[in-house]
Amino acid sequence: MKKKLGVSGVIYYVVLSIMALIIILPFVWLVSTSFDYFKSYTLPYPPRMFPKEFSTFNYKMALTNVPIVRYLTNTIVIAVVDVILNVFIATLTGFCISKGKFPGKNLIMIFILSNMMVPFETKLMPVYQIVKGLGLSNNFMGVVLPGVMTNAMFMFFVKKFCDDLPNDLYEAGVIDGASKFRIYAQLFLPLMQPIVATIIVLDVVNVWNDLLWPMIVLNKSDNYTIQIGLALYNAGANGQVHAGIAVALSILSVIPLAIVFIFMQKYIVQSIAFSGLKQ
Amino acid sequence: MKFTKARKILSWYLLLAIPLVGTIVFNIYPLLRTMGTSLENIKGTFIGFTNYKILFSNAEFRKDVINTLYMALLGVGFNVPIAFVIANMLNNIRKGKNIYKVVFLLPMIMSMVTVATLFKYLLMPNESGIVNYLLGYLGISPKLWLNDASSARESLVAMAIWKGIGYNIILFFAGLQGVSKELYEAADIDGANEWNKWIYITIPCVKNTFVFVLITSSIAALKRFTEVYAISGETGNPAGALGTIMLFIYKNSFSTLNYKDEGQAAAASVTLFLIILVVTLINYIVTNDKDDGYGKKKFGRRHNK
Repeated sequence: MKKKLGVSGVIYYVVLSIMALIIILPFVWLVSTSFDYFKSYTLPYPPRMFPKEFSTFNYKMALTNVPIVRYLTNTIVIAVVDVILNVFIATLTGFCISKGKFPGKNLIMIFILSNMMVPFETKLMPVYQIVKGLGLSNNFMGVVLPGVMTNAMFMFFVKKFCDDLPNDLYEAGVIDGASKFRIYAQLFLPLMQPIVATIIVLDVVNVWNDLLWPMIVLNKSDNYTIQIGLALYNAGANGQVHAGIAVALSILSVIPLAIVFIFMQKYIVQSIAFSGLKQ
Repeated sequence: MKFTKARKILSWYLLLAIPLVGTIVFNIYPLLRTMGTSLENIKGTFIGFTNYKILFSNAEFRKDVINTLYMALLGVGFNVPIAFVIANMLNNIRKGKNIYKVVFLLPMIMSMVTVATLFKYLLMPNESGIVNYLLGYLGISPKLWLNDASSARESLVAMAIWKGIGYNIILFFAGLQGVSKELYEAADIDGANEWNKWIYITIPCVKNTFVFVLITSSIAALKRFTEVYAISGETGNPAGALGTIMLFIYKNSFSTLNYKDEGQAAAASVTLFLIILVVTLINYIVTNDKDDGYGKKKFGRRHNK
């Protein structure tokens, strides 16, 4: 049943390739401009796709003028803590809701699902006041806690995943006299690798690119995440904006995720597909 | 016996303590608090719906609502259909699927702040912007893009689509994998053409994905903040064209530059919550309706013949 590449096939390839070009060209421009050398604060005129002379000047300027390494380190710390907590809380909760038998389970499910009904953005002020009251303003935990404790989406990913795991496994654990937590940690958690990977991928991208909430919680420049630093630099917080530095900063901010993307590209595609199918 | 049973139940609740406490502390209480604040003045005295009256008569807020809805409509209206068509093409080619998928997802690694930086320079208003420069070759005069109130919103939406469309393409592509091949074979036997197969098989079968994509994209669009903040900070310039509801809430809650009013922010938050709720419901009802009325009926009729 091999079909020949008909007229429609050719059209598909043409359209898809145009689309791909539209996506790629801005990237190419960004990378090549970051290696361009120009003396002015603004971009050179006439605009060019490729540097006249290759130079790392913009990167040197960016590294000396903006504490980008500090911002990157902060963001990595936040991302790691966020991912660990999200994986732990989501897997434990998903396991309990899926395999647990206790009165009020449905009510609890609805209760936890209510987090998905109310957008986080509509509760900024009171949540900030609570975080402040806990002494967590300007603290990385303040950035992480409200999100990980209420991430109903991840919890229900795990719940759906656990539903497909055999109940016998749980019963076997009970017969062996293991506690519920041990059944979770030693029997179920090892089987959850695919869903854990999905959570990690989606969460890292989210945390890395988040601006609003970290910007509210963290207001000392020592604590800034990469996105806050970038946004403030572009807004002119450090004085006049140098286009070369702005472009180089953008590239530097993307590199860590780009590395993740290169090594896990197949997984990223799968994770996104999964997040849509499991609703 | 009763004691051990109670302990058993309690141990489940104990394991669920984190999300339960989290839901109360970071969801239920803040939601009620926001509603409460929206009915209070700055001293915490109950003042009824005064905050809402002030809010809805505020020309700036009304403009922010219109901007938000307009950009959401524009964004979802272009993003979702294009993503669906592209996903179908992707599904029908035989080689290079993975390369295209990875390319379309590339913007995902860039944050909205980075994308905003990139587009600010690409769309520089004078001829030093490379887009204007290239359009010059086609004889098109330079546009102001993000710097002109009449084109800022459209430019911003184009930017958001550029960043987000790959995500939706992947979601649709995944949905298309779930469509049974037998349906297409049966349609082939019936002599259906490609268009009919698309309308009567593909679209009804990916209905769930449609609902999901529509709802998630509309919610994201209604909460638009990072894009506008990264382009023009708290101001929403040019001429307030990039002011959104979220920007209004942020300004009135946490601004470092302007006058703050928590009551107004809370009233705006509740308004946004209700808008999102209504839009989600409409999305859900409309997409459900299509299936029960249109899709199935046509299917049934075809079989009855």
